[in-house]
Amino acid sequence: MLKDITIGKYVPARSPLHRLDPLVKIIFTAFYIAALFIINKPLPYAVFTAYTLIIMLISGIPVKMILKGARPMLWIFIFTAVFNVFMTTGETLWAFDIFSLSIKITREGVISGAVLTVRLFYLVIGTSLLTLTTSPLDLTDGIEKLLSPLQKIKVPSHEIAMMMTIAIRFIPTLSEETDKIMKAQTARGADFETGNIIRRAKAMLPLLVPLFISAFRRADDLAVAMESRCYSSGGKRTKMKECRFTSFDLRAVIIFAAATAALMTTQYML
Amino acid sequence: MIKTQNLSFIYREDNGVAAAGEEAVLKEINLKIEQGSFTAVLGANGSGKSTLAKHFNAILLPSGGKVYVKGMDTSVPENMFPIRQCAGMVFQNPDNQMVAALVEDEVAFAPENLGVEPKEIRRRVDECLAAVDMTKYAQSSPSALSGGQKQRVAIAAALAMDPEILILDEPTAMLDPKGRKEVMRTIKTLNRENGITAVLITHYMDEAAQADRIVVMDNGKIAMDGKPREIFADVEKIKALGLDVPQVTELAHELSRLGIKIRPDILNVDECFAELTRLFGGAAND
Ligand SMILES: Nc1ncnc2c1ncn2[C@@H]1O[C@H](COP(=O)(O)OP(=O)(O)OP(=O)(O)O)[C@@H](O)[C@H]1O
Ligand SMILES: [Mg+2]
Repeated sequence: MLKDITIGKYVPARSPLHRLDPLVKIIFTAFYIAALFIINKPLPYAVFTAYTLIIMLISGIPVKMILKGARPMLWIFIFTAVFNVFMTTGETLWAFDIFSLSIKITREGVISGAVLTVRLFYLVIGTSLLTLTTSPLDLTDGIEKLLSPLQKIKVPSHEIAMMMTIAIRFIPTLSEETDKIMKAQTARGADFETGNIIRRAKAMLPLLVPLFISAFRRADDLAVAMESRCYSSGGKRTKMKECRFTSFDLRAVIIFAAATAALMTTQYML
Repeated sequence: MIKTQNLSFIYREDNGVAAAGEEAVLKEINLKIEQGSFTAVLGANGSGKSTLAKHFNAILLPSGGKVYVKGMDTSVPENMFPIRQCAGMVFQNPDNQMVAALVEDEVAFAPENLGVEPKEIRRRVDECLAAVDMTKYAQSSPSALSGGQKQRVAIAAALAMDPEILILDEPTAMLDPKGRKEVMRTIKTLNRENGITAVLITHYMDEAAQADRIVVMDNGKIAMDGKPREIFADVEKIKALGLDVPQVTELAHELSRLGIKIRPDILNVDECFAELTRLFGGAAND
């Protein structure tokens, strides 16, 4: 399960999405999510789905891999859907009694359950597309630029960005390590699989201690390795890959704006 | 290239006086490393090898005495970046020294920190990846590489600063035999062909045997210093310091103790084979 997490996994490829300026991509993602929560009619949803499909197809990443990223979220999808179906009041579609509890499934419940699930699903797809097509260093670069106006009020935008890069970089290393520690402890009789939640949480505790110790040791090593290569937080850095706003980005922005306008027309005008 | 003068170091100190129960990890070390040389540093666990190495690029500063790198005093704050640029360092754990999620970005990290022009960074990245024979993997993620490949990327990442010295702290300790060979070959090529001064800390005697000079540390002091042949000829002393000699050297040593007239200063398998063939004549050809 830990291996299925696609956050921080970057898949290099040559696609228009990979070429896009990371800052532009982050802003697009923000708009994508905002639009997702604004629309609430069948036609805009259809258009939105079409957009998502197009983006997925031009991303240069196998559709299967994108969908796999949503799999760890499956239980959350099911939970929100079920919760909504049962908890929303309105026009009754179907009513029955279990253990003297009368349960009503309403039309509104089914709709809001479906809508919320769809929204969550697209939310995961949209954000995975961002991380899958943007190398972590570029992503940080984008975040750094996004935050740079805040530098005036002393927000350390570079340090925040660096912290994020390193955190993302260490996700695979640490999840591999967790796996290893778990196996080592299972071999010595630890049981992570059975029992209720409290029991399982207790079993996780001895797992966290070695994990944290190792994370701190790694952090210490990394700090020395970075210092050895002349890193200093206040220093003037340059970039090998300067992300410049190109005419390609400009065209993308225009297409994206037009597409957003079209989507909003279907929502409000039709 | 590197010179230490009465270098002492204590991890927890107060104005040169050790905290209670603390002992100096380095004690009055005087060492000179010549330009273009290949020096191996040996020593038992905890003898102070890593601590010494960290003094060579101003990660640690002496508690007593001085360290000069290319004539620059490490204790002068203005010298810190020029010294670190001049003395690149590679560490034991390949996973713990990588910053970036893409090989070429990893190599670009140091020159980016130094504020080098983007075009020049690109040139250096390509050149350094070629020097360690990793050009093919420029666009890969380091996590997808083998241990030996990761360490070669780490070497390229240090080379990108355009250093004159490369300090390697047990770079092969976590590698399989194939990875170790790759890394050793890379280090030797850089030393012979690119004129990089190499300082290699290692626990592997066969690696140390490939250097021009071996420095043996014991409890914060330099216990032995000389050419590999001289060092390994004194098998008893090496063993007393908690170390081993290369297997072939040990074989020759044991044979000569049995009264067989074999050269005692054999360092590698080829020499050993030549000696044995000479001794046993035609029998070895069968
Ligand atoms: N950060 C630290 N704080 C306090 N003591 C330390 C620290 N790092 C190392 N030491 C101590 O300094 C001594 C020398 O350590 P050092 O790491 O230099 O040895 P080493 O020769 O590199 O050993 P190894 O072969 O295990 O790498 C050891 O006794 C160690 O416990
Ligand atoms: Mg060490």
